[in-house]
Amino acid sequence: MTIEINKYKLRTDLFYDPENHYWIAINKGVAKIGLSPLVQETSGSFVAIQFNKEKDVFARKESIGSLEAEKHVSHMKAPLSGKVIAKNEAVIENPRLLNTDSYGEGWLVEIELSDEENEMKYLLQDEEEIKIWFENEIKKHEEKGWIAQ
Amino acid sequence: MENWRYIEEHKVSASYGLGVDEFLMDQHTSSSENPIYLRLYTYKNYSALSGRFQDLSAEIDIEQCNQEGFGYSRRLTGGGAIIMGEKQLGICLAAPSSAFSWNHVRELYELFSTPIIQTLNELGINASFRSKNDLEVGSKKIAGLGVYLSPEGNIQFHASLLLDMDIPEMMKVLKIPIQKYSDKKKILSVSQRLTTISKELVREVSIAEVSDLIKKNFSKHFNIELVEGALTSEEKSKVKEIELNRYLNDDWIFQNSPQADMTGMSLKKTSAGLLRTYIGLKGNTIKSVLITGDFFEQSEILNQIETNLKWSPLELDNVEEVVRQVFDKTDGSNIGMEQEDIVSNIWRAGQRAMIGEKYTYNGSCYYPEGEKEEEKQEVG
Repeated sequence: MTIEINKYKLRTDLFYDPENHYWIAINKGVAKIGLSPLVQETSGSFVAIQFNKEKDVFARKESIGSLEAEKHVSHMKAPLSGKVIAKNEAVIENPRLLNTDSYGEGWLVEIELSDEENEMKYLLQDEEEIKIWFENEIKKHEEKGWIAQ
Repeated sequence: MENWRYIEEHKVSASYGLGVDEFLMDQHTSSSENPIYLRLYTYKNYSALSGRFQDLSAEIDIEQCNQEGFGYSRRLTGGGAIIMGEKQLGICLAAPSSAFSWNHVRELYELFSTPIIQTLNELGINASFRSKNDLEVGSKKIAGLGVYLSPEGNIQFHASLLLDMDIPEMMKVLKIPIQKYSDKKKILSVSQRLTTISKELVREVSIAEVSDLIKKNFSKHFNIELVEGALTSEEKSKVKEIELNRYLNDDWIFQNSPQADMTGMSLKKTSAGLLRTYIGLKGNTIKSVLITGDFFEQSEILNQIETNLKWSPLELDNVEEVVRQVFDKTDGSNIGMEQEDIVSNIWRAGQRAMIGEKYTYNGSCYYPEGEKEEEKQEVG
């Protein structure tokens, strides 16, 4: 289900990692991950993305790669522990997809989860909870002047 | 009052300069007790430093660096290649991200660049923060800024402040998309886009004079005391390890970015004369634009368009919007050409880059055989 909060279209049938602003779709122990519609707008234009080439198994919060947007470089932290089984080649070739189609072509990775049972508590999953979190995030961003009111 | 550790170093090598910055940032992972670090430093003449995801050999002429004895390496921070030396002040702040109240990286840029702007203001220079993370005077860049956020939750803020710049020396190793221009034209083109403290004040300004002001303004702005603490020999040996593992390591320096770097050029006849646009792309993102022509002094309007297009998507709507906004804000009529001329020429250069009509910066195919002949054929 998709709801609109301010101008942002937010899918509430997905899980969200509030710390890193990821959406997460989980199907049979595999999590597909992308960026929330707010972070994809406020980060500016994504220029480069590079996944960690040294390994494919990550603990929660470990860096699965780094990306550059408008001159700042940061890391993508694994929202859940597991093995990266797919990286989105389209987004590697064109990181702008993170900005333009974050729920669709702009997904990041798929992770085969290794500790789903214990780690789901870190995610938001209730529709109302997601809505409140997102509204608060927008409010915070508006107050700071990072997005137009 | 909180104490920060202050480190000052001069004439350092490329690998050491970057290695210390990383070492200081990492200290906050090993112990949360470590203070925030402010480091002011200069590189020895000269060090060419590429941005985190750039194709280093497309930006920096390695052969020329070796010939001139210039150092080179790859930074952790993003953005474009820069030249650092004895008259360019490096400012590095390393801290745990929890040390400051922030939610958005733009806030960090503003927070840390404020004491630098105050310093420039005190010197009598009217500098301001530019949206694409540079400090500018008028429409000319006087300092570049960068932020790196580590996976461990630490911040590295970096600024390179230009006290002076020997543009011909810079041009020797930095590949810019007008390589086949005469030296005079190249120097003019660069000097129209950047400025220095000495140039603004029309006097020579020392690193010490600027450093003292920066120290004072950081202390005041953050209400802290800077306590001098040079690196110990033990710390320096840890820096050496970082240098060997990263900044002197070819795997790091020459790594390939997954996103292709592409370049394109377009010529267009306008009522004011011949307009040349050079564009550099990183994937679908514009990483640099150079709009030039023999018929006018480089105007602030064109500088502004170049700046606003940087790091934005190569999409026709975006190019049109940027050009329109700059024309609306300024008096675009005095440059003697239509918005459409500029938009179509940028777009054409971008399209050429996308379809692989690549020119190399150092090869004969950069600006193919005979500029004049080429112009005759290319003018759209």
